[in-house]
Formats: sequence, C-alpha cells, structure tokens
Amino acid sequence: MPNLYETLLIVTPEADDEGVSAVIGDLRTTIESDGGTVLQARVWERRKLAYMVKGKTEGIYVIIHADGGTTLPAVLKDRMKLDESIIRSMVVRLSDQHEIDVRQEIAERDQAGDAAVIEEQRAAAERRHEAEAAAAAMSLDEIVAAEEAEAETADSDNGDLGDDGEAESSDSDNGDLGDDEGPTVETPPVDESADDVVGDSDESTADDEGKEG
Amino acid sequence: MRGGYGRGRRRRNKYLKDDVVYIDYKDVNLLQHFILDRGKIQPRRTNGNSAKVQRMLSRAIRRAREIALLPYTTG
Repeated sequence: MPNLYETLLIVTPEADDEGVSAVIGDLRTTIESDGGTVLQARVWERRKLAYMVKGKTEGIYVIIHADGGTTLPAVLKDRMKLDESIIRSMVVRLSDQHEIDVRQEIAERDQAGDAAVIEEQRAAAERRHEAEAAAAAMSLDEIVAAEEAEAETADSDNGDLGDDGEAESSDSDNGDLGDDEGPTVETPPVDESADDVVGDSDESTADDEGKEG
Repeated sequence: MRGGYGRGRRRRNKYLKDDVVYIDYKDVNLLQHFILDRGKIQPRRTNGNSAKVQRMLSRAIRRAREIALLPYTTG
C-alpha cells in the first residue's frame, strides 16, 4: 500500500538551474530505485529563510511528491543528507484527506504544465546544440587564425595593414566565442561534479559505517 | 458584557473556517497569524481555536519551523 510523501528541501542559493535539476534528477532516481514513483518534482520558490541554515539566509525550495513504501522517507533522508547542495530537508506523509486534494492538484498542474515542460526541454536541447555549434565554430576559427598567423610570418613585409586588421578581427572573434562559451562549456563539469558527489557520498557512507563499527 | 473578551464569550477565529480539515505547513501567510511577536505559538485561550484545530495548527507551525519557513524565536 503506497503512501503519498511530500518532500520539501532547501537547495543552496548558489545553485543554478542546472544544479537544482541535477539535485531533482538524483532524488528522482533514488525514489525510483526504492520502488517509488515521482508524481511531481518542481521548484517551489526562492525565498528568505526564517533563520540561518548552514550560514545561508536564502534558499531555493524544491518540492517533490512521490508515492512509495514505508522505507522511502528514510532512504530519501539518507540520500539528501549526503548532498551538500541540500541545506535542509523534510519528508512528510500526507494525511488521507489532504492526499486526495494534493493528487487532484498535481493532476491539474500536469495538464496545465505539460506543454510548458516540453517547451523547456526543447529550449534546453536547443541551447546545447548552439553550444556545440559554437565550440565547433571556435575550433574552426582557431585553425583559420593559426593559418593566417603563419601566412603573416611568412610574408611579413607585404601588406602589413590589411593583414593586421584581419588578424585582429579574427582574434577578437575568438575572444567573443570564448566568452559565450564560458557558461555552456561548464555543463559537462557540472554533471561530473554531480557524479563526484555520488562517489563522495558512497565513500562517506563507507566512513560512517566504519565509525559505527 | 460589551464587546470585551471576558469570561463567557467565545472568540471567533477570523482566519480559519470552522470546517477546516487540514492546515498546510507551507501556508506561511496563514500560520503567521497564529504566532506571537517572539515567534511563539499563540495559545488557544487567546485565539479561541478548538482543540482539534489548535493541534493541526501547532503541528503545521512546528513543521514550518523545521524547514525554516517560520522562526523558532525572534527578537
């Protein structure tokens, strides 16, 4: 007999959208590996904390509704304690009456939100494509610039002004692309760090067990 | 007895309906009405809540405190 659990957690205010969705994705897999199903997982709001938590005065509240067995709250709490970007969390089983209301609300939200979610995913995919394209373009530009530089050194006496102008412009292009690329290139490292967290957490559980033993 | 809240007259609660079935701990704006300046839970004798409502209310407030939606103490 599954219960409906509501998980409210505070993600550190420094986390960006990707960081938050990484946290949600991680918890989603945790819930599913415990045999539960996620009904909804979304950012509730970014708000000021009533008191300081881990030195933070602000936090991103994330709310997750999930069906699961009686082991789910403990499993979730354990997982959330290991994630350092989660500064506070709470799992609550919803009472029977309220459960019905919440299920209804989620169903309504799903109908309204499906389109928005799909749109969002499309936008994210597009951004990724653009980033890849930009990366490809930059490497091309680099090659061109290198060739130009070689040409310049070869016949440095000829056509100083024109060549210089071109070389400069291509340089500045590279610079721009580099800047644009800055945030997008960070995408893989973020994922990696998430993986690292998983690795670290495993280690820390091992440590914990060691201490207990 | 004119208007005052001495013995014998029940206080009416202007924020909660009589048939309330659940008080959500995330509803900070509602809960705010039932905590005192120092962050304490308002006693039943001053807000006239039924025992059942007061129980739901205090549970919601305690949950809200846990997740930093409401203060444990202020001032």
